[in-house]
Amino acid sequence: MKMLRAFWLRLAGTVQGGSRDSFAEELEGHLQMHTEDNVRKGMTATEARREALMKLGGIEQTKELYHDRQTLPVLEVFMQDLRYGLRMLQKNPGFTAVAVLSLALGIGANTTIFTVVNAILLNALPVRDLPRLVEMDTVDSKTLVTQARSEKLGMSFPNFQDYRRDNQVFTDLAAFVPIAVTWSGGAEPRQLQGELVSATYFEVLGIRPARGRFFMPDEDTKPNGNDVAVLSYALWANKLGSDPGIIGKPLILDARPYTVIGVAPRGFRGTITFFSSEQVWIPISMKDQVLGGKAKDFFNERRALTLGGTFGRLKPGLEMSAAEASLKTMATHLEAEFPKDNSGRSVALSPLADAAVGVNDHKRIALAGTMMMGVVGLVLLIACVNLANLLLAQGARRQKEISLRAALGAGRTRIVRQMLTESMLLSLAGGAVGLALAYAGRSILWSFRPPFIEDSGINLALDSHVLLFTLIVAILTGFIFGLVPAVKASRPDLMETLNAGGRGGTIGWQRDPLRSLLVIGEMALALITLVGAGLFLHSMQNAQKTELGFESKNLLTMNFDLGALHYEEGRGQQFYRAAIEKVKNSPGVASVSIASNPPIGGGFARTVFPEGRDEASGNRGTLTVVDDVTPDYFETLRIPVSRGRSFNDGDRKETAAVAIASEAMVKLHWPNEDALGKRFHFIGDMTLREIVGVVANSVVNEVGEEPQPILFLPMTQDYVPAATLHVRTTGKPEAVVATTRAALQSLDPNLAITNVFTIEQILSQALWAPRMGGILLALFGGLALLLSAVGVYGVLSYSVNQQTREIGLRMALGAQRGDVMRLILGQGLRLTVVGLSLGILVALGLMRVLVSLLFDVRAYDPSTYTAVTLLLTAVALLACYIPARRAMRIDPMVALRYD
Amino acid sequence: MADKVDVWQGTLALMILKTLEALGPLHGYGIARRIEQTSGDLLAVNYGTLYPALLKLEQEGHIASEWGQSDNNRKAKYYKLTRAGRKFLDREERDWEQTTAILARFLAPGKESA
Repeated sequence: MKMLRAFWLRLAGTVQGGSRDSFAEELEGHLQMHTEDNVRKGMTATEARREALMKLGGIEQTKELYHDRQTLPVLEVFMQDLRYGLRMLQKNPGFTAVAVLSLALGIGANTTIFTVVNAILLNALPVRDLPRLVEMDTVDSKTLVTQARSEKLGMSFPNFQDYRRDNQVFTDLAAFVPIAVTWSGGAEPRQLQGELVSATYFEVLGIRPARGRFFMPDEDTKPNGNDVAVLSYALWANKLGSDPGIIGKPLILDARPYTVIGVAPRGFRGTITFFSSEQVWIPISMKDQVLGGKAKDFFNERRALTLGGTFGRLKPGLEMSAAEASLKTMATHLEAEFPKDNSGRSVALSPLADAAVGVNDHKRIALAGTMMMGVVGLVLLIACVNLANLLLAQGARRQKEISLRAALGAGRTRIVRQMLTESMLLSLAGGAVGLALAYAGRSILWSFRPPFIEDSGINLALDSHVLLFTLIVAILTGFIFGLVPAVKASRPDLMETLNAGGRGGTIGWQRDPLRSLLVIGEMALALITLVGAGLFLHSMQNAQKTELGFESKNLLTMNFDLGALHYEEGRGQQFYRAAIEKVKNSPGVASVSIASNPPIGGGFARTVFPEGRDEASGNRGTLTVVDDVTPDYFETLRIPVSRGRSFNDGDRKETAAVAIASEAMVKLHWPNEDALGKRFHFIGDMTLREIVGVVANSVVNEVGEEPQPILFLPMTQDYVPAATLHVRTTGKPEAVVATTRAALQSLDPNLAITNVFTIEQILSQALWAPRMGGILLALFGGLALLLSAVGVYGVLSYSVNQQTREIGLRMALGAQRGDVMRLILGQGLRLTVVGLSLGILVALGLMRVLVSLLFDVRAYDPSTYTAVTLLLTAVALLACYIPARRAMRIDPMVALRYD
Repeated sequence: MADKVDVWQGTLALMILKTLEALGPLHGYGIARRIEQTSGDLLAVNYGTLYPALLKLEQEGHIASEWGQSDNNRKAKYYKLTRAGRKFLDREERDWEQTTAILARFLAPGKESA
């Protein structure tokens, strides 16, 4: 308390500058009293005063001691440095503006990217003790998977129940299955995102409801009987007007009333980053009411991998690796117990925090984030090098001032501190402006976001993490670019500089290794940045160029779910026929088809065994996406049928089971054979289906993928109640949206129609992230180029200026202009070549490490390296040429007198 | 080095407070003379160090000051003990006695065993 009081008084004293008058008076009184006493003892007046002063220990020293106690000396020196620094920056407004602007660009770029990384990768789930939560996935060594990044798969419900009952490693285990349900009761039926969850879900996460309660431990056991629901805070606030009496009210989901029992805490939207913030959670025992089609049929199959996810809380003190080992042992028991279903299957754990962006995608997304941060970090480093160089030049100009201060007794640390205060001021100002730039950049980035992110709970906020990050980056930046010039400035050769009258002297820059090093470093950094940006840009372009395999113009799609209205198969098939008939006959429509899979959206995958290579003989099945389609599908999508036939109305439930395979499917299973007439069956379904046609490859999961094997089945032989209507239009697809919607709803007014998109909209959504990444990389690459060009130009023109006298002398002694030009260009190019070579070496090493973790990018893409090297050489040449030309024009007489 | 100064400052503070307790309100010169008389040569060379110490005690609220007239009609700043200062002094005195007692016990047998 007392220390604090004293501290405040001293702080106040510092701000006021410390009042010296009152103490001077007190001291004078002291001396007079002492002098008088001395006189009384018999000293002369002079002697008495002298003795009093000696005893005191000097007036000025005492005042100084007193002042130090009155104020906070450390702070006072800092304030002096600050005032002085501000004055210096004010005196050089041009320098200050350039410095702050380049720092702002560098820091702004870092903050912008960090904002995205923060929102997507560092956005910790709002749950208790997140590091102890792990996701458990199935790894299946027996089933072949052709899709990229699907090494970890979901878990079947029976297996989940066994793990939950018998594991030794979790305090408890929870399961969730993402679902879409139709919510009626509002003006128009609306689809909601949600999850079927085990009753343990909220318990394992360790969160408390904002209102009401969460599920009771046994509230997921009564099949079709636990009709209760928990709402997310956003759903409650946005769609239900924050109704305070919501608890106990019914909510009609898929035509069945559920009682609302609780509202989840604000900000919680499940365990998946990209999910909408509007969610509804329903006990898993309600699965038959909510799931449709295949998911429902296979739910209780041990073989099925349909369950969305399983996560648990590790027991205290248990490491994830130890838990995983224990679970793998359990997996071998389950394998022995159910050899037919579980053979080849084990489990793998991953931190739930990582799995939040998709357990198979985390590595890729984290790497992309790291790459982006690396690129903007390099841009900032280039800006730092520029500034260090500017400060060095300034330090040379200020040498006289600094020498004077040193001569007057300022210590080295004091001078370094002074210079660092100045660079810190610059970097903090740069950080502040950078934050403003990042705010604007974020808004621009955000305004281009596609609808699917608009719906998601991702929030690109400039939160405390971002602010702290910016502050730390700004401070580090100030140190990085300020330290070398400060140290250099602090040890000028005192006598020499003062004698030379503060002139830069004739120090040639060959003799200035520090500055040469900066040019080399700058060139190397620029090359690494540009090569990195170039390689990634290249690969993104490649990804976008990939053939879709179907005609994307004039195609409209929309989703609906008959399962939500509890249609049984007969009624569903009838609805499909009626819908196709009705839509086909409306104006502007060329052809119509219904398929189980939305375009570029993947689909339900099943394990396929070709005839003669089934599981009984120990063969591996292949997990293959299956699309159930109505006859006009290939015609509507314009996917060419290369062999055999398309489906037709003759393919009915009672006729022979048929299928159509993609060329990739044929290549995988029957290379060098005629696929027509070949037969196969799915796991758990021994029906032999015959391939009657082969179609060209088309995109299944994502643009840029390897051609995926896919099987098409007639909808009549493999009914699914949730489907996508594909409409090929003759004109603009937007024109038929209203009539199509009306046609479907005239068949059933309770039908919720969702995701009404043209393929071009879907494509722009799918390509938003790579396109944005490409634009940003191009922007940052340009920034790096600009900054390094400015920097190289700055160094070279400065050194040419420094050499003015030398050049004048040479020309006076008979050197030709060409010689001077050669001299200067030669100096610049030598450094450029060294810098670029160094950059290429580092880039090759660096890119090899990074690229090995990514796809379809080659680390040694010669065209990128050549283009970047040429570009930077041109920039360096220009940066040398301009000062060289200036040097050439120097009049020797003027130059010799130049100062 | 710094420790020594701290000890010196702590001791000086205690002496100042004790002086003010014994003599009542007093100016800096008077305190200096009194300490010199009592402590011998301790403060002989440097009256100046007294003033930062007085300021520190005042900042901490142990003493208060006001301007007044000295015996020979000079304007002087008088320091006096505050209530908090009195309490602080009591505590410090006790601590100090304890410390010296313990140290004495350490130093005395130290000679024997050495």
